[in-house]
Amino acid sequence: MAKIDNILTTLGTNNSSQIATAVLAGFKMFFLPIATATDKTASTEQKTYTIIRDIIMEGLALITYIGVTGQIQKHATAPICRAYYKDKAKKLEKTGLLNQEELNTLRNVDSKKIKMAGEDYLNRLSPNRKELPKEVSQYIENLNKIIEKAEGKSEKPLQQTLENFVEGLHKNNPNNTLNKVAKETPKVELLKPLKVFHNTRIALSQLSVWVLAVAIIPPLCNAIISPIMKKVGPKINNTVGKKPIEQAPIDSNQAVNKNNTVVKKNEATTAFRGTFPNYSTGMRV
Amino acid sequence: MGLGLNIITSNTASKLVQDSAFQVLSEGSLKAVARPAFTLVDKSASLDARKYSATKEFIFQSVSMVMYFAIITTVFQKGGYKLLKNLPKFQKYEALNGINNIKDFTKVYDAFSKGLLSTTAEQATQLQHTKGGMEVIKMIGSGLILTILCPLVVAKMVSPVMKMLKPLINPEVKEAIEDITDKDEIDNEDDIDDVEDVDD
Repeated sequence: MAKIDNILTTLGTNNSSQIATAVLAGFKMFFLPIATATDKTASTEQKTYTIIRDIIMEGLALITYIGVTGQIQKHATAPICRAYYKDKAKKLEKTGLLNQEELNTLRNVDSKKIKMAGEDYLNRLSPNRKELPKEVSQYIENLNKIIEKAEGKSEKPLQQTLENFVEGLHKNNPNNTLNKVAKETPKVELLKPLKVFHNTRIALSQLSVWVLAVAIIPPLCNAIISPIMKKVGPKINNTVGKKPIEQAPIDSNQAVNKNNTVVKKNEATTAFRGTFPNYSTGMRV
Repeated sequence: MGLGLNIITSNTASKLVQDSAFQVLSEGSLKAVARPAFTLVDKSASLDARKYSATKEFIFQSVSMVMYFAIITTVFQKGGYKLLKNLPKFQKYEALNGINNIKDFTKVYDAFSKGLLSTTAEQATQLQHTKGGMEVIKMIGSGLILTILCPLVVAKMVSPVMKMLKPLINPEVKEAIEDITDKDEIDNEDDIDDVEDVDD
């Protein structure tokens, strides 16, 4: 039961993109080839190529979505958090909300400590969770205080209870309080480190999946499928269609005879490839 | 740089990305373009096999996007929430009292995730579990649609669509196809024998 609770909490609070996409890739790797195999109208070569391609593509998706995305999240999240606070410190300089020391702290946030605290938050449900060093938790607390100061206590979002909000929903007027809050939010919106870490991690998972799906997996599949097709797939006669007259010894003066099997064969093959030869001139049309 | 950082770190992007429907739809629509393009470029199979594979991939992604959008956002989300609320585990959840449909739950969870609602720790956990449960339902729905329903539908659509598209792409081929289909099919082995006879 506790495991189910953990899964539900993870999916409810930290539903990284690679989870759903990798699960689907795993299923597709199995079901797509089956569906292709049932297509009775396709030729064996078409089916073989498509099945091999689907298996490689979805297999690569399954591996890279979990492996690569996880690594990107692990290594890129904290530096982005650091860049975020540096950028915000620049904007806050003009507002005068923070003193120089506080601005310096924001400019040079310790990404390692943010990473440790962020990962600790992610592992909060794990039985193997290690206690966060006091030094790190104090650092995060100090950072939170600076952020609260920059936001201003009066500008903190007004909170209403869950019960009131649900009651408002039934009266079709739930957003009055929320609109009021939106007006009072400060111009320089500053998120707390754990929130920045969490949001960045989630966004990176989606970006990573997009890049992998568009620019990495398909070319990688092309590279992998080539040697496999040479072994498994039917041999491709690259000369067919290129030099049909040289390949099939037909006299150029020979008329196109419908009963000539050689002509029939070449016609069938070339038309299959989208071109056919003009036997009187020797040119492909 | 600043804009990119703001988008990546924003609560809105985080909320959007955590929705399984968005994850699947965005990935699928990108794949609908990228995969067929790379398939056609690949030289390890005949053009015909590549065209078949690319067409199948394109139709699969397009059809699955439409089906996914039509079925997940209606049947699985609406029905899924009702189903979830009737499960023994979720029937006990007081936080869901008064939240009768997925539309209301989405509004509540949206406000909760923005930190605009004050909740007890128990209520927070219950809301998170329900959100997680909805994601599980969406994933199951995605599995059913994208891995079982769509492939079967698409496999039957590829050849007719290819036949329809062929004359449009190359009108000259249309005549050649018609000529060839009039003739009897020739067995490969017979072809070879006939070629040898001609050579003799």
